[in-house]
Amino acid sequence: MSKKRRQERKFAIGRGHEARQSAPAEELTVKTVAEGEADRQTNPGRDEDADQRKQAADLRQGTDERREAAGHLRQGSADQREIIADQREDIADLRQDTADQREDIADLREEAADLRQDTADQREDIADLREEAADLHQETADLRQATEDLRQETADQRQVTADLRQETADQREEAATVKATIAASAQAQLREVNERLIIATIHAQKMTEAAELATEQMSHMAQHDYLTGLPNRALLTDRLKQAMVLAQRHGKKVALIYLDLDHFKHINDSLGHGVGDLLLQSAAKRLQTCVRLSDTVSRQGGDEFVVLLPEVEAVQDVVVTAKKLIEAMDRPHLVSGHRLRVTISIGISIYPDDGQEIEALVRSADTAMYHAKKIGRNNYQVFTPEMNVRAVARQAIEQSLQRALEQHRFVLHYQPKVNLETGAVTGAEALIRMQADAGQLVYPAHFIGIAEECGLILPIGRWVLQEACRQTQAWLQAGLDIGQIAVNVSSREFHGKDFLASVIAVLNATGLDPRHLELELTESGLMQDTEPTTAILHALKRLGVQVAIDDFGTGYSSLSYLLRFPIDTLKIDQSFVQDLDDPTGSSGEAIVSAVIAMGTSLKKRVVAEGIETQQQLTFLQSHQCAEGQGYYFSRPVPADEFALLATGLHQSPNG
Amino acid sequence: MDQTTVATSNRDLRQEGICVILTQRAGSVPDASAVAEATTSTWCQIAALLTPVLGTRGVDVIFRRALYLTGKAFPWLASGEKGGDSAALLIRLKARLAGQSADTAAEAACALLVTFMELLTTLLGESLTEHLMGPVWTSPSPPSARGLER
Repeated sequence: MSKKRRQERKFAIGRGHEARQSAPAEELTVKTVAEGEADRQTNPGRDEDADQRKQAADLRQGTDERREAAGHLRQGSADQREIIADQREDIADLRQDTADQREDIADLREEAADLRQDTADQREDIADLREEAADLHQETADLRQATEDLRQETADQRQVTADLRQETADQREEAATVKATIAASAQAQLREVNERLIIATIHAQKMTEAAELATEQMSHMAQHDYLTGLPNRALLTDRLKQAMVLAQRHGKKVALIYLDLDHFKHINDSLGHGVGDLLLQSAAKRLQTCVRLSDTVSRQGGDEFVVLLPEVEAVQDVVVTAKKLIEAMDRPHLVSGHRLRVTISIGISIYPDDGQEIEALVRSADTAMYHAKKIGRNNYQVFTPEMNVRAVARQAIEQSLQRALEQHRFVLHYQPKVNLETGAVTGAEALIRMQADAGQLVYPAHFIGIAEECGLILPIGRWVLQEACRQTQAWLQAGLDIGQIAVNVSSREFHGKDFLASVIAVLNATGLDPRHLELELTESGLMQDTEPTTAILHALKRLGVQVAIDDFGTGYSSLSYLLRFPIDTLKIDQSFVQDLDDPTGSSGEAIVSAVIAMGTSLKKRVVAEGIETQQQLTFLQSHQCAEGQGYYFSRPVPADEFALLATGLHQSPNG
Repeated sequence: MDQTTVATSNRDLRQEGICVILTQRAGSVPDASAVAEATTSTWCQIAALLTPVLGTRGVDVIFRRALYLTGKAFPWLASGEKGGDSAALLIRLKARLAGQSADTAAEAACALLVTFMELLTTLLGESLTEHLMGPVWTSPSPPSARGLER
């Protein structure tokens, strides 16, 4: 039987049985209930039996029926069992079918899943393909773009190449032009370089020439005097050395003539250094005319000259030359419109007699010259050993001065200046003394000249100014007003470096009021370098320091300086004052009265120096000379004595 | 013959040659003016040949140096010369030469040119000097100074 037919039969059997089975049950149930109800209502006692019987009958019928029904049911059950078996078979078949179907379905599902998977894969493949296709499209488009770009680039490169070609062509053209320009420029530059080289070389030649000339000049200057062109000390020494060697070899002598111009300083001071220099040049030429070519005329400095006469036979030969020199120099020199007469003093030394060494020979000639000056100038002296005594003494004084400075052995003495009318002390002049080794005092006349020559005058002068100011300030502080302290200033100090500054420094150091200080200068000292002199004097004047002319009337100068310079005081030289005692009525009276009159009219203070007698004092008083100093009133005395003296004179003005 | 002798000999020959040529250029019977003219003409020729190589200032400075050195022997030749315009210097030189006697002018002019050549030789060397200055001393007469100055 087919599955379908079995299913149809099963369905038919099921429906019939169900109909038979369900109808009796329902009819039985309904009759029993309805009969019971009806019996209960009609005869409750009989009825109850009847009912029971009825019920039993019903029960039996019901049981029969039930039996039948049960038979039916059993039949039905067997049928049903058969049916069920069939159904079970069907079900099994169904189940099998279902299982098959399920298997089929599973297969189908699997197939479907595979299909879906395949489909998905295919879709994916398709998507990939599409993507690849898109990529391909993009790639193609890119390739097209790249190709386009390459074309463009190629075109550009072609353009660049073309441009480069053009540029290269232009550069070639430009290079050609530049090359031509460079060639022209190089030629010009080469010319310029040559030009510069030539100029530099010529310049170098000139510089070399100038350097050689300068070297020659320096060599000449090192051996010659710049003013006169004569050999200087260095060249003279060299020639003297050679001459001494030759003289020794040939058994001859060498003469050295040391000379200087007499009173040259006065000419220099009064007419100025310019005239002095011209005079020296004129003198140098004169000297050269008096000697042989083999002789040497040299300038030592200042107005000193040395003539070297090599290979001399005898002293007499030298004397002849010395006389020629004196004679030649004696003729007037015409210098800057001045007709100047100048004499010379000569000292002669002979090698080897007066010195074996150069220094000794020169010193001997110098000593002889000094001797010639001492005996009156304008002469010559041949050195003798006796002359050395003076030279030795001079050397001793110089050493003493040096020691005195170092050991503070200078002292000041003070000589009062007096009002000739009242006798009152108006001031004092500070005068230096040196304490000798033995204790005695040495007066300035013995050493000032030497101090000036050797330069010690500068430290000595500074000490004098310092000490005089200090002492005066001390007196003033002690209540003793001495008026003014006068300090002598040498020409060398006054014209030395920083004189004004040193005066100011001393005043500051001592605290002395400048109006208490008077500086005494000589005429010749003032007449040097008039411009600086004027400046210094005015500066002193502004400070309040007084200036006096010492030894007035003895100098070698013009009176016009009295108007030019700010001078306060004229000191009449003691030589004129001493002449006042001359019974023959010498010119002293005239000079003194003239100086007093001139000083009064020029409104200068006039101080007479060296008053020693009543007669001199009377004359001066009668000519209204205001002030004086001298032994008549007092010798120079030490400071303490001066203090007493000044106090006494203050107390007794006419004493 | 050592090198010093050769150099001295060359210098003497050059000096002699220069003097001869200068005299020739001054004419058969030279006066001072003719010497002056020949000197300045020769100088202008020298300057024209040297200027492209040494520059105007280079040539001028050598000439002035030569003038200064020659002036030591002939002070009137370079008196007061310290600078200024080269053309004016040449005019003054010409006037100074013309103001002397013919012999003195010739001697000074010859000395000037010889000094110049010696200076040039010192600076450039014998060979280059000969090469540059050859035309000056071989041509019989230089163009006129006036023409060169223009």
